[in-house]
Amino acid sequence: MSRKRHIREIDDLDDRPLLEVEGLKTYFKTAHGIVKSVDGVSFDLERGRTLAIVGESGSGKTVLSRSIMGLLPPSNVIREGRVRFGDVELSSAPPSELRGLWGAQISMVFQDPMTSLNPVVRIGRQITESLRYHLGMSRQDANETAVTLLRSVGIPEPESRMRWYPHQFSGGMCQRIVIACAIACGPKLLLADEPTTGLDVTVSSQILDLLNRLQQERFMSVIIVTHDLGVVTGRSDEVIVMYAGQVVERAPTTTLFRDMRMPYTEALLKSAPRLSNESHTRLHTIPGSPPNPADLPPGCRFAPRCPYVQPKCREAEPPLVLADSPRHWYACWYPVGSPESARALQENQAAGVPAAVGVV
Amino acid sequence: MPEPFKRTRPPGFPRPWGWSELAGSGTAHLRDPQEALIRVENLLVEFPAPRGKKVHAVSDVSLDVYPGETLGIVGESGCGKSTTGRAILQLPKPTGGTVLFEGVDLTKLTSEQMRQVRTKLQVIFQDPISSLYPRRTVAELVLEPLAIWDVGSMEDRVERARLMLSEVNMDYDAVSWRRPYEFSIGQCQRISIARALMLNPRVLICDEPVSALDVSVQAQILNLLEDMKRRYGLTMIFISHDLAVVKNVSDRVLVMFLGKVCEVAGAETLYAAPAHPYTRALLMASVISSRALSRAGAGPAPATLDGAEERQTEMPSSVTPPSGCRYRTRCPRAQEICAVQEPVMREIGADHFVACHFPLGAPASTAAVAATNGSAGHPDSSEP
Repeated sequence: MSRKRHIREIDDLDDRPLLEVEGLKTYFKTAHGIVKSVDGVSFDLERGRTLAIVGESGSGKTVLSRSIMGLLPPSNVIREGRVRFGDVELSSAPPSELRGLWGAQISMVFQDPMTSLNPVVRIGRQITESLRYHLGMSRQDANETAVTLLRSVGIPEPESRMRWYPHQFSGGMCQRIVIACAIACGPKLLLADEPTTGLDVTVSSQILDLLNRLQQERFMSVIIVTHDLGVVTGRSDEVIVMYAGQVVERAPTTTLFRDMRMPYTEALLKSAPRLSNESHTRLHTIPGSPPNPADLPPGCRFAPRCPYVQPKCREAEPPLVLADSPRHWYACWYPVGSPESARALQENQAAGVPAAVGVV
Repeated sequence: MPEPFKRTRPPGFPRPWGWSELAGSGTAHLRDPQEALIRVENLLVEFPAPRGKKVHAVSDVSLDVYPGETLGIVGESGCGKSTTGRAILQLPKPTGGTVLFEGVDLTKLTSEQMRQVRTKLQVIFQDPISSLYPRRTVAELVLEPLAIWDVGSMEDRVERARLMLSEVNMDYDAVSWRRPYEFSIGQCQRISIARALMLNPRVLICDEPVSALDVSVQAQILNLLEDMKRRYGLTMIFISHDLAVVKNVSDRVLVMFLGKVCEVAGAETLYAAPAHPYTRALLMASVISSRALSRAGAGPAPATLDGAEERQTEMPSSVTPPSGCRYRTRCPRAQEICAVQEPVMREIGADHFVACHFPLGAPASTAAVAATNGSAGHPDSSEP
């Protein structure tokens, strides 16, 4: 007798993207006022594609990924906007329906692999848990599947490792196990929240390669949330740059790196140290710090730190507009590379605006 | 004053089993002892492990730093780079070896003498929030070093604090009564830097100072450290796992793997022509992300490292390190000799030292000489 399957099957709608987010807002009510962590984010993601969400800490990228999943605290949260996944409205789905989706159709890999596994449960049971619950597998079938999964994520001797506890593995190995748990039921969407932060360079490039391989094998959609622009390239189809809870630029990866329009994207790229630079090269910095999400400036939120800032930027909020190339949106009144921005920069340098001084 | 730490074994005592006389990475890369400000020889740090075993955290590391120079130490987590930095400060005292600072062996000092020397050796840690005492105000934090050493009057101390905080772009009057939780991580790191410089040290040891920071803040802190170094004539030891960051600040770079030195060279040389297979593996892993950042293009990530990918990724255990070369279990070029004989530091170019039997880019003859002990020639010997 087979166990009951607790899984919410979703219809693949051929003509529509797998995931559609429209005007998603997530505000938190705090003692300091309303914190606008995610403020009107819209995007869509097709089956088998990878989307990277990039931003500094505090830009709302983690809250965005949790808001999509529906993993928010039950009180003091204001969540508006629509999230559609297949034929399910995630934003209005009851918890019982979400339970059939979490782990089965959408799953998540968290930042810290050592704390996302239960320390007192053998890893075998942590992987088979979702297989037994969602797919109703027998204990033996689930164990065999788990061994196959562990082998596919590159754990040596998976049969004996099934009986190990998380503390017996290193950080990189734990992250592989977390990924194995996440893909166990063959989800259609995988959210990876800073999957390689805290791991060594060699390990993190292997984890990203692993995610890439699994994605191609299983035709998953993947959302990678990261603060490291280097992680993004070569491994994502599209990038969203977030600043203070908003999308400031969205473009296919190659376009973004070659032809960025938003001054914030440009500043982020310039401030990372590179191997190709000589040693003791002076790094470009972004002056100031990100705005307080409970007390946002009027107009463009990047304006106080922007080298191209003009009076208009401090008054009116720039909308997300389409650039010349397809699927490239940006939110800026004086986009990088336009004659207006060159003039704005010159004026600012002449006037001695601190953000503009020293920009080449 | 009696010594608080009991050494497990006096320096120079015969090594335990498994250590050949050649063990250790050698000292060929050390330069003129007269000029060096810090000279560390055969540093050995061991910690007790369960069942009478030992963790070989740092095994025979030698290094030297000239005045005004920045030495970068790179390696993966668990390679002993932080332990090396702390052992220089005698936190805790190393199990063996010598640490010469201004010609004085720090390992032989009493704790009171060491306390006095520490004013010249300051340190910045990775997590700025937990390295600042949360219940103290900024004024208390930055004034404490002067209070301990009873330097000047209160007005002089505040004047000094005002100067140092302004050096890190903070206003004393605005921040002095605040506590660490009121600041961002970047600001806390600035306060740590100001505090470290209060006593006008000669050496600043930076233990992963920017790992917890965002790129934009990281750039601010790195520029600040460079400014401080120039203005106050500091000598720095910069420990990090990020190769691009290390290259940006260092004059000379030392690569560590599992408690041993792999390669030492000037920053430009090391990055242009890595000779140790481990250095190249590290570089390949980060070059992918670095290439992306140059506007030119973002191609797909190469699947293998010139067909010579690392064989496994796990760090070998530091309780039972592999015999011979400690990198051999991961090394694509490992031969029989690597398991038998430990490679010793040798010069392969101007100021470029490597501890490897089959360094990359070496002419076939050099590799053959290295392999005189009857091992087969290595397959890549025709490589230019």
